[in-house]
Amino acid sequence: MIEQIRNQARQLLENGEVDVVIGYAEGSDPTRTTPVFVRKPEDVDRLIYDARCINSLPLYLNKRHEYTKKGWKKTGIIGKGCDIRAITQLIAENQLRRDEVYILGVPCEGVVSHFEKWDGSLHDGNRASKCTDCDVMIPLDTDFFPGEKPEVDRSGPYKVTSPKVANLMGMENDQRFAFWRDDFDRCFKCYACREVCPHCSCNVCITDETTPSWIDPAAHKKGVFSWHLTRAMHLVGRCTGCGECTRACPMDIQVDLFNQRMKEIVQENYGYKSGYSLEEKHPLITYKVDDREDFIK
Amino acid sequence: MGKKIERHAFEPKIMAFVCKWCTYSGADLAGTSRMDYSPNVRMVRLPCSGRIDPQFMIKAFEQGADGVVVSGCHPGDCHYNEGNYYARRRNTAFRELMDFNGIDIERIEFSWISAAEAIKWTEVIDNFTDKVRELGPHAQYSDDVVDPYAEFLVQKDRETA
Amino acid sequence: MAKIGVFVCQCGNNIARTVDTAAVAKDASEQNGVVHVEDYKFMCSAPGQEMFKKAIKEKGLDACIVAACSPKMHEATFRKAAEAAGLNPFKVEIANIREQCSWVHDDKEIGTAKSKDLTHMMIERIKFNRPLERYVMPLTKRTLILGGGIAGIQAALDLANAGIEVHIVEREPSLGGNMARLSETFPTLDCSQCIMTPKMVEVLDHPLITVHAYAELQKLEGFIGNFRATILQKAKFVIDDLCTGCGECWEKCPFSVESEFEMGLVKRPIIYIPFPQAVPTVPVIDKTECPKILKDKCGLCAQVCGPDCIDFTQQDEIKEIEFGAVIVATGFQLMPNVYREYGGWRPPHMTPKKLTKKERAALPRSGAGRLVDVINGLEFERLASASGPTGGQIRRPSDGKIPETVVFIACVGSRDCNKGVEYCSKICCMYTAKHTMLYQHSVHHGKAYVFYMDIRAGGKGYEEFINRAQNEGAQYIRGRVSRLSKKGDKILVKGADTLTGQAVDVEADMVVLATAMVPQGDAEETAQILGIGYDKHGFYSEQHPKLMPVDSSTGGIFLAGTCQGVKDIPETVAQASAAASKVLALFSKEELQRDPEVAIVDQEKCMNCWDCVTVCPYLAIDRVELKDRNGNFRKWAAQVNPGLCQGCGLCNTACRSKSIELQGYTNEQVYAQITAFGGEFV
Repeated sequence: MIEQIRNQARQLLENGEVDVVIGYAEGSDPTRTTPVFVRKPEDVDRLIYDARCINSLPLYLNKRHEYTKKGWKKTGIIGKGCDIRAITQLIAENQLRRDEVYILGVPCEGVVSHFEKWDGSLHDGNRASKCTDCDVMIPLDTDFFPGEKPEVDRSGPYKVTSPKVANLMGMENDQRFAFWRDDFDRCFKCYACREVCPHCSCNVCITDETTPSWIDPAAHKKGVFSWHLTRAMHLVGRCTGCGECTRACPMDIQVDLFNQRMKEIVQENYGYKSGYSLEEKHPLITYKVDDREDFIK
Repeated sequence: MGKKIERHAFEPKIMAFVCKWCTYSGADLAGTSRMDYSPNVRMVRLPCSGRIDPQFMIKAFEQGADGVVVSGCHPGDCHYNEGNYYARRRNTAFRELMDFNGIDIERIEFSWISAAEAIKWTEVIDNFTDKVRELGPHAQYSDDVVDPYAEFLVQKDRETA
Repeated sequence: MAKIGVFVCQCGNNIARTVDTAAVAKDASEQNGVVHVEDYKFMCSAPGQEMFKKAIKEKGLDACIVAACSPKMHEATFRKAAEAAGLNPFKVEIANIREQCSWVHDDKEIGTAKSKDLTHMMIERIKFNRPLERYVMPLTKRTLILGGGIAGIQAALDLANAGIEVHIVEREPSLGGNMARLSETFPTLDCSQCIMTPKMVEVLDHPLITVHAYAELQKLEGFIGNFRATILQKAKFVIDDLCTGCGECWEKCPFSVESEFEMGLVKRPIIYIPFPQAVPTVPVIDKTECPKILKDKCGLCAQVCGPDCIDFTQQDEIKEIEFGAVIVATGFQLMPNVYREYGGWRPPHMTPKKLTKKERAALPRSGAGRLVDVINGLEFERLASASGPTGGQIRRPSDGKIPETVVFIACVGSRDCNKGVEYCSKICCMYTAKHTMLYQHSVHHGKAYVFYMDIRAGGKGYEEFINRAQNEGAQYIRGRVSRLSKKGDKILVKGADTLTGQAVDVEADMVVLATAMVPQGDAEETAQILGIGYDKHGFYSEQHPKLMPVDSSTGGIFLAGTCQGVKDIPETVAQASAAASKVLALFSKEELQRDPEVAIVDQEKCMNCWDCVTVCPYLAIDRVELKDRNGNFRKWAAQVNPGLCQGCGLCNTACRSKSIELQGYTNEQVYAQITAFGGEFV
């Protein structure tokens, strides 16, 4: 499989169809992989793909990053299904044009949740939670796919993949608050969750603003809560569920639970799944006259 | 006039974000009609309920508000035609988010109040004030805000003294 | 460092009674940035404003808070005063301590504490107010008038005679509206057609007036001075320019349906003009009934038409026209279906929805326990009208007999919280008195009874008119009617005379109900198309009930006539002329000054997700390419067109990077206001 991808990448680079191919390469130790930018045809043999390829590469297509300003006309990118969802969402939000990317889709069988958990094989013990009920293991929108692309039914609703969401929703308000208070107590606002998110696309994040100071910059309760609420609010209907925010968190705060819950809400109320359509607008900037209003007096 | 205002041990602080066309006018009408309502509310006048940013509500809670009222024109009546529809969606999401965070969404009141509904305005404010008074102070945000660095400075001060 | 002045108004005793204004002023003076405070009896009075201006000039204030009444009242006053004193008007804010404090809280301590708090919030807010300059916009000097009744006609003539181009959109095939239905008008008993028809003709012939008969407004975009209306011209199947109005077609048409204009009392052909004096005299073909259009049979009208102006292939047409102002004069209807209450019945002619053939067939016909001779006021007008179905002879609908006894019932559906509307329909007392007179002038030996609740005849010559009706023989009975029932070919009216405390039974040949006037059935949809406010009954809301009774809640849209509330003809005409003069005032300038409270974009921060473009209801946000100094493309960014922006702030909320901001309600201003929140809560 990877040979086909490498050949295609080589061809693309040789023909000058793309200026760079973003993919995965072996990392610093055997459990790790690292994102790699291949710019010369002879380097394509560095490309690999297996269950250790966790990183969400569409991050590098986000205009916020310097990589996109290097004057590359077209970028080849190796994408597993969930990453291609992120690319679709980026295109829908006008952060990228479809003709700026060449998507090399890979059939994916799931990835590990953290590099440290890699023990040579992928099993239930180390599989990332997002991979448990995935309908894009055969990716959606690709320019190249090794072998035949079977038809997959993706019409089903979004399902929460982490059992913790249901657990939390089963709790009383106070318990839920206590859970988050304990989790957020560890947060020291490194903003790794922001930096790793493919959808945080603002040139200047509002946390870094001082006019007004939207979010209390200190890492105390007020500041941390308001940061996480803001982050989750900004991702309503936009998050494509790569789970990178939780993986990147140095303090193991499961921030993606928020996103999963909000994806569920958006699905329930507006029947919207992000990352499946290039045209559909996300639910907070559209409306229907008969939207839910049972909470309004 | 004439309703005696009872004072309670705890008086909730309520912040209201209102649209200037409907709810603010409705509240004005309550004034011109000399209706009596709970004095715990402070209003922020905005052009449309669609201008009410969830950030404002977060900030109000941070500032020690015990309850937040969000109000605008009834669906179909928006001065800007569709602002309140966006407000409705945004608030649906925001309430669910607050709920998931364990913050009591009973403390956020969303209501459609037209410029003619002075009575509804007074009822919403009175009932909501009573409800929040019942719920007690909103301690989740404001109880034990600890700034580790400030604590460290205080401790250092003490040591040197 | 800000130099803020705080001016606390006592509003006579309105504020001072429950708010200690001196304490509010003292407290404000201790706030950061406040350099001047004033506590005065009437800030809005001439001396108050002088004081305000003087303080700005002498103390060099750079921002002012007026703690007084609602900003809806006097924000404009003080901003103007500030401008006169050389301060940017948008550096003035109002703390509403009257409507929000003194008038709603009895307790002085509470009122004072809340006033202080509101003033603090404003002081913090105003530190972030930016000086703003008004935008200058072009102005289209053309007026759209919705509705061709007497209000629309009057407004159109007033405007056109002043040299303004006017377009009237009328949904019926002819101008005239409800007034054209009336036989004679109170209190002078002059013939409605006689005073109306010349005006209708004048409208049609006026070079500056365009009449879009049989047309509807589909969409209205834009804003004051720059509206864009989409008008749907329904297919008439008759070519306007060729038709001479000879009448061959409608005389020859072999089919007939109930006439809407005649309230269903008689039939009309399928190709028709609503009434003989119709203006324009161009017939239309009712496409829901015409067999030629439905199943390609007949076509007789086309055969007899001399000038060959019938075109069965005509389609509905969409016209887009730009306007600077809109006058809404859509009129009223009589409350449909109130007959049920009295056992009588009529199809709801007056509802704008036209019944299909099938629906109409399903309705019960006369007889079967229905009281056909219970009619409403407008139906009576048609019976009494010389051009009506009976040629001015009052004959009852069931058998055409001349009624010997007629009972008039006032307040049907009005002043009735349970089954009708709670307001007084205002004109019914007068038209009932007129009806008794018309009846007795026509049937000399006839007996007229009026059951009434109260007589409300406040108007010039109105009370005299009621007296005249009573002197001419109408018997007024103060009391309500409980039941109408059939007795032989008569109607038994069971009522009460509350002045004598006796039950009264009258056997009447005909009963006329003075039905309440209500807004058009689709008044709310029309309001939503126009983007104007309406009350719970569906009457359009004026901007201020006393001081701005002609302005709707949206700039550039004015109200005339009964669409705004119940009115008689002189009031309607007066309001129509008032609306016309408002439009003239608006058009008296060459260009329009626009509020600068619109959105602006920080284009460097903009990350061009175009969420703002999606949410903007006014299509006011453009996508622009930013170039570097060599002219090379640098980035995309949003840009607001201040002419289209209405200042709703939806974009501001939708923008995640907060790079688009609504001036006057900026994030900083609101944040400052929230931050100041949380003072003393007594």
